[in-house]
Amino acid sequence: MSYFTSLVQNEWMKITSKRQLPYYLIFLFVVLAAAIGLQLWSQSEGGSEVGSVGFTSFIFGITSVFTGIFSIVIASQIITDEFKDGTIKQLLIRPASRTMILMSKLVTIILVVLFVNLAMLLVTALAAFILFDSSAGGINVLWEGTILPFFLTLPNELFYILVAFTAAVLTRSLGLSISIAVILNSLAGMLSIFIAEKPWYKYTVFPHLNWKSYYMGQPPIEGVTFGFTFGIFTLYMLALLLISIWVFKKRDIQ
Amino acid sequence: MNDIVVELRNVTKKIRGKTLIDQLSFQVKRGEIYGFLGPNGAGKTTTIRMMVGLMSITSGTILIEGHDVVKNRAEAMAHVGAIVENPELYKFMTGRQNLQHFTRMSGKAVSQSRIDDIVKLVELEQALDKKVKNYSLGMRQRLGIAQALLHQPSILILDEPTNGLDPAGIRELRDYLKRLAREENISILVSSHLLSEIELMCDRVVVIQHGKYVGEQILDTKHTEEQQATRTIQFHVEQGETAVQSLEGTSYQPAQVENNVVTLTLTRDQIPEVVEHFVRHHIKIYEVRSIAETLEDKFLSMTKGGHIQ
Repeated sequence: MSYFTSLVQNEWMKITSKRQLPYYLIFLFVVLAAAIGLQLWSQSEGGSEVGSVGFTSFIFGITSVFTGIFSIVIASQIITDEFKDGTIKQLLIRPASRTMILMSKLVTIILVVLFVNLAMLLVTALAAFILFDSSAGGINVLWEGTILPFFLTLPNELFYILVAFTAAVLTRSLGLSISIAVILNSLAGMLSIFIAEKPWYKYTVFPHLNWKSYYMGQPPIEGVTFGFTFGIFTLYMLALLLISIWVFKKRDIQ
Repeated sequence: MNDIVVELRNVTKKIRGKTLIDQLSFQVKRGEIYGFLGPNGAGKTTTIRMMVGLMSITSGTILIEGHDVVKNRAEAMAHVGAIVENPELYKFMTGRQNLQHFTRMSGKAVSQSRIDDIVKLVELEQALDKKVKNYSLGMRQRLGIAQALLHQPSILILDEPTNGLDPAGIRELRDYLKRLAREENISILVSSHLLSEIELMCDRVVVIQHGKYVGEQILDTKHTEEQQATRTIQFHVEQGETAVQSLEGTSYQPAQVENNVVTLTLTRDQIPEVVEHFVRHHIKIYEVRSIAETLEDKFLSMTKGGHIQ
């Protein structure tokens, strides 16, 4: 097994040994159980029935937003905890280069986000197809309506993960890096309204984070191609990545 | 195998124009325990951090087993085991998980039997599956040593290892380190501000002050260098004057006499020769005493009174 894979294994072991991840998963399953209970109760009282696909879509829509916030928290924490506990010294006196350490952490965060989302989707869909009416459609409808849109909006999630991650490398403060990512995330929507008409708006990262519009056959801005969107997104991601690597490499550990 | 494990060549560290370490050079030989000593603020921690790659080096080179710690980081670090300040471990994981974590980071294949041996050496078999947050400080210290030794490093670097340990813990650590140097044939570099600790534990002491090399002192008598070094020996004899007269024309000079006590500066091998000389001249010897300079005396004279805790 390659050295980098072992580093990712280590990060995975650390993140799953902390309380956050199991507790977060329990929280998600409680949300799911409550929603199922509520629906079954409402049906028994004569309320309208729900389709399996509709229910899965609805629940996954909510939990993936939660997971978006959760991913910002763990992307900050995976850096700041090492500084807080002093274990950063233990990490950086090994043969691994600092760039490698940083990349193994980023890869692990992405794996965790994918794992949590897919586990949630699987469990929700399984419960929904057993308990509710599946006549409206099966896996195909779920793929088109829920799974594909999730992957098409993943760039948005990845961008804010990297913002939190870079902020954590720069500030080494958990509160600060979570705040920066969450505030930027909520400001983005508002900001877009004010600057959407400006000619340079298409050079900002914000219109290029949601790729669903291309799937729907309409670019986010008139005359912009998917190639352009992909290019701008990659450029911003690379810039954040290079800043975090550069700062992390240069830092003297006290 | 090369005899020199670690070599510092004109290492300098500047932070914002202030020189913390100034042209520091010294070597660490294989299988010896080195004390790294200096008054507070002398730059011990800064030097150690540069050796393990936590801090950048402004100029100069540090070689570990011949590998430059900056240019060939991976090769150099593969030979290093270290505890910088406290043994920082992942408290939310068990001892076993911590060891697994650092085994994977070592970049070498570490066999299960090796891990078992190390765990036995630091006597943590019982506690290995407990979370580290439930460990006592002494146990954490031992786990810290275990993780530093897994990959069979040629140098173990310990920064202030006795910090926060009680006297029993310090004694335990000292015994472990001595055993390690013997059983694993590795070099150990220990920085400390506790002179008595260093004196009990180390073969050799490197002293720095204001970021500069001040001197080196051998503490262990097994070294030829130490055997060649001279020391002050007092001979309590019946007739001081007669004894001094008998020494005239010999190489055992100069002799001082006071109250029938003859004081000579001799090497280790010369002591029995002088005794034999006196006996041949029928001079009665009542006592032979070596006036050893304590490490503290040596340290104070080296640093010209630079105080230490």
